[in-house]
Amino acid sequence: MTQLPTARVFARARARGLRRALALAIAIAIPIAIAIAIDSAPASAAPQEPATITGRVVDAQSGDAVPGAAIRVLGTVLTTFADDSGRFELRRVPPGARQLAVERIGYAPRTVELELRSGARATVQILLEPRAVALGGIVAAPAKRAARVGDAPVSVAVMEADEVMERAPATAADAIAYAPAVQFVGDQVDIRGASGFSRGTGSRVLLLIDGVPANAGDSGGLNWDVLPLTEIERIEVMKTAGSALYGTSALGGVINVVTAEPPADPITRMRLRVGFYDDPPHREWIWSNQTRVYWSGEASHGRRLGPFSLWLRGGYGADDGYEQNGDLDRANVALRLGLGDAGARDRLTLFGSFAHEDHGEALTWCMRGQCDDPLGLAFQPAQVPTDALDDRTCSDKARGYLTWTRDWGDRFTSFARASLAWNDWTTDFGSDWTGAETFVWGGEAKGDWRVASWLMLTLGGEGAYTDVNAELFGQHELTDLAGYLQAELGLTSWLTLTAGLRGDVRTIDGGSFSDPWSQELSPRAGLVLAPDARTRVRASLGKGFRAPSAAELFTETVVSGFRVVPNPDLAPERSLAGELGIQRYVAPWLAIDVAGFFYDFEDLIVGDTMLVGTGTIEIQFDNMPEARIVGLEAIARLSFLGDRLFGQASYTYLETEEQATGEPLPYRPRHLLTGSGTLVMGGFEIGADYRFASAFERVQVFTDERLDPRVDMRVLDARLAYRIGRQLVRFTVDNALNYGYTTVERNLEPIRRYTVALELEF
Amino acid sequence: MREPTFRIPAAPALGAALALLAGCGDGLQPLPFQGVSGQVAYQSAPPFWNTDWVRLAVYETLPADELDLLDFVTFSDTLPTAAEGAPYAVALEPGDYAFLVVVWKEAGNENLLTALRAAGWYSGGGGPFEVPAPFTVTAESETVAADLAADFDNMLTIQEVLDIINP
Repeated sequence: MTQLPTARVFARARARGLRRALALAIAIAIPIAIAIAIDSAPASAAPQEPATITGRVVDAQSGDAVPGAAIRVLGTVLTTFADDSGRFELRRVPPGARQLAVERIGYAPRTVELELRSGARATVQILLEPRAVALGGIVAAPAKRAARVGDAPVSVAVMEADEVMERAPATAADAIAYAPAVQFVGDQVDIRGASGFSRGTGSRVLLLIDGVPANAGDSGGLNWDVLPLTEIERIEVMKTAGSALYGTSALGGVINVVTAEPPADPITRMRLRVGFYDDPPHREWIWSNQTRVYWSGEASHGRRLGPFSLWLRGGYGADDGYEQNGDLDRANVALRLGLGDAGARDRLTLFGSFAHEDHGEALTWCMRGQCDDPLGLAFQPAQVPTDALDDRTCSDKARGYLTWTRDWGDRFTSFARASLAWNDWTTDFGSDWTGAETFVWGGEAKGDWRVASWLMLTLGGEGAYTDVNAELFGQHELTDLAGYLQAELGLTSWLTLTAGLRGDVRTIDGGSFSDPWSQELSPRAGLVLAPDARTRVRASLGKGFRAPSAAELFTETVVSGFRVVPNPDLAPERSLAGELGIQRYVAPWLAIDVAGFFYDFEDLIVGDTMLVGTGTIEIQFDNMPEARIVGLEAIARLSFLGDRLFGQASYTYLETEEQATGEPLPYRPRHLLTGSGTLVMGGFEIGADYRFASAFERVQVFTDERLDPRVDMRVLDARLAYRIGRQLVRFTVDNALNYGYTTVERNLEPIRRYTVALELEF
Repeated sequence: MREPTFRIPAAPALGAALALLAGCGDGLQPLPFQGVSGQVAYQSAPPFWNTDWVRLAVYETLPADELDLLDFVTFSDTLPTAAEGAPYAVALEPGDYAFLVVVWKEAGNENLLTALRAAGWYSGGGGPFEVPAPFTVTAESETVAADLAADFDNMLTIQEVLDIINP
């Protein structure tokens, strides 16, 4: 027998493999194509006129309207939301037997069956049973389109408008801090330990406002003051890597802030918030003999004029701060114009906002000898060093976007966006002024295609051009291009599979790179099992990444003793993230959600300290080779006394490790606990919230616990609200135990404060 | 099947548990300082064109050679140099210390043996380069007050420091 050369053997084997793969692909594709053709075929040859469904969603017990309820026509892309009076209209509904799925958080989901004749107009009243622990509700973050929260293969926390406002927050960040598994470390948001803290670095969490990216173009950080508070409809916190749909920055999760559509009737809202800080927790730390106060006022007006809609909003706030240099002034205005109501074929939205903030900088508190302290303590946590008293930062931010949504029949919806963000900030540290100006032009085109009743495709492309000009890191241009595709396969009534892939390309100009190009592929797969109506099992596995920001690559500065050294060869950080979770509606008074999750990080960007000695504070951003997070999260939602007493408790356990050293990752707590409860009695609402995070086992800058002790975070807040019709007055006490703690070394977190807020609606 | 019935005492129990959790930690406490602190008086300004930083270094024994000089107990935070002097504080364990020195580092030079200079040291009230004075930190006295002078116009190299303190 003739011996074949090895190369030819492999070539033949490869050819055989390719032929088999091709045959397999054809074998799979043909039945799918036939199924799609059958699924898509018209029921009869007679021309069919689309039908219209109008209706109202009301509370089955009180008879009140249920605004914000989502109404979806199953098997199509048609989705709408009930307005402030609970009314809705769905046009272009294909005739025949149809199912309407109606969902609203706080109510049991409901499915309504309708038989629609060609060109008919049907009117329905849909009664929803209130259920405080129900698992329903609609979210947009996991799939880039409105979908039921229980159908997402990833963990999502949803905060409705009431929940956001009940704590009389200054910004949306004050509310997000109460979501399970979320902790703010300094001003950076950390979800399930994926972010930690890195001074001056970008965010590992992507912030979206109505689906439009809102991270700052230069540092990648989050500016919470640009978010409109009074117009928030809900906040979605996706607690795993979202790069398969969103690309960079979504490495550690996605926060999507959804704003409300203007109501049918004109509405004016006003919110006035005033308060003051208590003394610091210990007499020795009192530094001011004046009461430190804060206040803010916001007003908005929304109305519809025929097919047009309008929201106009403005706000101003000032805060003396509880610590030296903690003062701030902020102002913002926003305008949102819409063309086309919720049922229209074409819907255009034009949004513009401007925000200004001027605040003192308290980078570190005062250590012994750095400020006027007759007691000579090791540190004075509410004071800053005397030479830092004039440190300030001033920033202006403008955002604008135009979106166009079009329903191409009942099976395809397109979405296009053009956006521009401008950010300009200056910082004065002593005699050193520095600053940056950034423009980000962005665009996206997306389609949601209901290919068949069991197959939904989301596909699109996204691009951004960023122009950064900074005194700290020079002039740079960044170009990002991406394409993505996600398929959702409802194989049976109890099994849904999801698979997606996104490709990203980035180029950076103006640096001394060894490789100015980077490209990433971010796949994700997930499944949702629904063994019964009360249970959802979810699993997902996907890759995430974050490209280093211009600030991380190029910053070279010395600020208040922190020396930052540039590193233009920083690589993107990457993760493999997975989770397995179960949601179960156990009883009318109890729903639980338990999830195990992990992150495997590669090239995580961290601020490395340099030189020797314990006083060292020189920082260079560098890639940490490998790190891992494994965790468990348990959430229980409870409701008693006919939903008059309800609450939520959550516990998160995190095991983190830097592989090379075996040390825990810095700025991650091992235990996180949140609890909240609300009692409703007549027009009164009484509530309390509790947050616990165990002390960080590792920090990076001031590591000597003799001078910088680390303690747990234990914060108890209390709140009382009284509602008269649509008007509401709130009284809150934050950090009621006046517990002193830090999340970032030498930065005292907010002390006890008392707030009164008046919310008026006309 | 009958739904489980909620018993009302669970609510106060949950509240009590939260209050207990909230109350069983005291948080940050005022921390008495233990170490050495005082004022550094600048007799001249550091060169603005190549100053990387100015810090204090503390030694348990007088350094005998170049490697000993890198074997310090601790470095202070960076001292501000814009004014005519700066307060300082260095946390130390109770014990005897031999040498407290103002160290200047040249910008752009990472070779510590050539980048570092001494601008002065603690000598018990004398000039910047007189005989070093030892000091003791005790747990009872909490802190040692030690003022010293620094002269950036006449800084000493490592070898010059060694020659002076080890005659």
